[in-house]
Amino acid sequence: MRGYRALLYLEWRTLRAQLRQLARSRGRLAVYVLVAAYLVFILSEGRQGMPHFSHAASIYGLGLWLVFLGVGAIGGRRRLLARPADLALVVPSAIAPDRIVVWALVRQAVSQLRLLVIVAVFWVPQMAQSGGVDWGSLLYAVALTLVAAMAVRHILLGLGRWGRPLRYLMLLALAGLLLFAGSALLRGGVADLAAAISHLWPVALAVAALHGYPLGLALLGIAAILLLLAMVALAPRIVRLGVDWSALPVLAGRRGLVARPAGAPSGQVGSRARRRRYRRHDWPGRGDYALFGVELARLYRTLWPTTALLIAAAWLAAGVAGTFARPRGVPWEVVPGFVAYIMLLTGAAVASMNFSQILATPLWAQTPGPIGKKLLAWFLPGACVTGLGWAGVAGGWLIGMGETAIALWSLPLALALMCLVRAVGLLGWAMLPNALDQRGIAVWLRFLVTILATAIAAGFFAGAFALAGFAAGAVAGSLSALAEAYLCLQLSELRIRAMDFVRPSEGRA
Amino acid sequence: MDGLRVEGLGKQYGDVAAVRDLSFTVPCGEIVGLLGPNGAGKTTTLHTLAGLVHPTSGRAYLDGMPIEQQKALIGFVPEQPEVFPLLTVEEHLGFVARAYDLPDGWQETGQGILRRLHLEDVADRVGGALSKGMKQKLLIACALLHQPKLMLVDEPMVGLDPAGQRELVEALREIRSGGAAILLSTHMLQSAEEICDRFLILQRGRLIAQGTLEEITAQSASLQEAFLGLTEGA
Repeated sequence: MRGYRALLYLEWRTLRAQLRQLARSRGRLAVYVLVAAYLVFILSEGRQGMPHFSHAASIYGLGLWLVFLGVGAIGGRRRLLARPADLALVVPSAIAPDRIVVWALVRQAVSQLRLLVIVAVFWVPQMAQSGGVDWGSLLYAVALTLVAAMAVRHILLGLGRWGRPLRYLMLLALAGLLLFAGSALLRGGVADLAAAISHLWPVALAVAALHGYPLGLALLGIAAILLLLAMVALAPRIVRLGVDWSALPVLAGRRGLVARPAGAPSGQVGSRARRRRYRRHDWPGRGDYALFGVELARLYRTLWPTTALLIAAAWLAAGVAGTFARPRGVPWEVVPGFVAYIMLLTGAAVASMNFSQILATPLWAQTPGPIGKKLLAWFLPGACVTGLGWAGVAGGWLIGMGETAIALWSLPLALALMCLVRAVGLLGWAMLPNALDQRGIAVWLRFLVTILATAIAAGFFAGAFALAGFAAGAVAGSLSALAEAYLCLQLSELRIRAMDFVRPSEGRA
Repeated sequence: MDGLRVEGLGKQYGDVAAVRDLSFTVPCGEIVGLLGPNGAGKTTTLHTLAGLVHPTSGRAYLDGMPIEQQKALIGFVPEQPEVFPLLTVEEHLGFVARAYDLPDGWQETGQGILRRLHLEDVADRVGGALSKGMKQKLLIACALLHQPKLMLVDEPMVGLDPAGQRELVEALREIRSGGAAILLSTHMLQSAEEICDRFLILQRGRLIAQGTLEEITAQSASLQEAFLGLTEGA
């Protein structure tokens, strides 16, 4: 247990330091008070669930979240060794490598749990009020999902290069499953879908567990224990396979550009031919706009090819799903839910969680030009790339349904909304720039703010749509979203202008 | 006279050979300087020996045993001074003591090392609040705490002030006199000349020269001249 004792000491001391830092910051405490107030409100006695928020829809929403978490764990670019000091102090130490692997994976799982807090806060009150799911069962199912995802990630890592194509296949299968479930929901109605899935094994098992039935809980528990044991048993294999520890934390870094060490997860630029194309490419942006090129290059490296593959598959699947749904017409009632889901899904991922690192790079400090343009260079390409992905999905579905005009009008709306989400995220960072405010419970506040901000654009969309149709709604929604985004950008600029580009952390323990 | 023995070590990254067929020894009680231009494979060699990178070929032994089984006897100081930003200097030592399962009394040893490296005044400061040089010293302190038999040191002088450099040189000499083997990668030829007993010169992943200062500089006026002659001519 020598290694684990040292690693536990490391985690405990880190947690203690984080709590101390939290206690010292009034701004950060305010965030916790706000979230606590929200929790009290949402869990208060006698409060009804959201209107039109049926039990089956809750299950469906929860299912989407679980799939999302699974995708994140399997296909995400999360680093196995998240802290640079791990390489200096943990890996070369006397701690056995297989213990370090297990510790790193467990730490990743714990980090994912932070996201699950948001799931619980958002979904559970609704589900509890619609009379179906108890907290314990929900947490149990969530823990199982995490364990399964971590085990799969572990196995993929252990398979080295062979794990890569398998990972894509799994991600594609998950995306397909998601879209199939979505189209089934739209075709058959919520109740029908719930009835249908409850008769499918192993879905029936999961549903049974969510309802607290002992058999479901027991069987899923056994599966979770087996997966955990498999994880631990596989740890030495990963070590024997020769994973290069030093390559793991620099997935998209320069080393990855030169060569991909055997066994390291993807995230590198890839084939030699593609690298050559990348180097030849004359990236756009000169002078004040030079950072646009940098950001595009970064997106090219980090998004390609997994995301591109997923987006292409999702577009295709959405088209197919739309064709299935054609006879029923456009189900407008699901649009707000769809938009909210996209916001929730992408809010944390594309917003400014890592902005402090970008701000600290010499490129930011040294390149000429006003900060506003630098901010624009950071957030616009990312918003467009993400927006195109989701607009493509919606567009594919709508074109499949024969609603080409609506699909075309949806494109600027999706792009504008993504700009807004990213700008709100940036403003969130500018208001609370400390690293501790980029994770944990503060993420929940970001979600709330993001949803509230998009509600304004949604209101403009709805008003114009009611008066003059979808095209007018799309124009009004896009313009209001862009205006909001611009405002957020201006406020962020004001805040960032007063900051030091490199921020030392607090001094004493 | 056991110590480090490296046989045919190689590391390939895709089609790039970072280190090729490297064989050398670092006997106990010797400081060996690992020299070479940028990209020669010095850091990859040290990372491989420290267990951060898996070698494509070759083996390394410490005191006759495979090096991967002797991790408890190795101290590693990386080039980048990365420390845990939320742990204090003392807590870093606490972590190392637990990782190496050091017996009671490590606290006194730790205090002595902190005093020697002028870190005792910042013992309760968190890693994120230290300057680059202090972080470097902290990593050196962590590497010294368990009294290793092999020290792998990557560019240790970078970021240190002159007093810190002098302290480091003295500390390394002391470790050497205690019987440890030290493999030191550096670009600072003057310091290397002062401290190292032997030199290994790498170029594009290959060992192109090795020997004592006298042997290396047999046909040159200085180590720098010999180094440039070897690496630019290779």
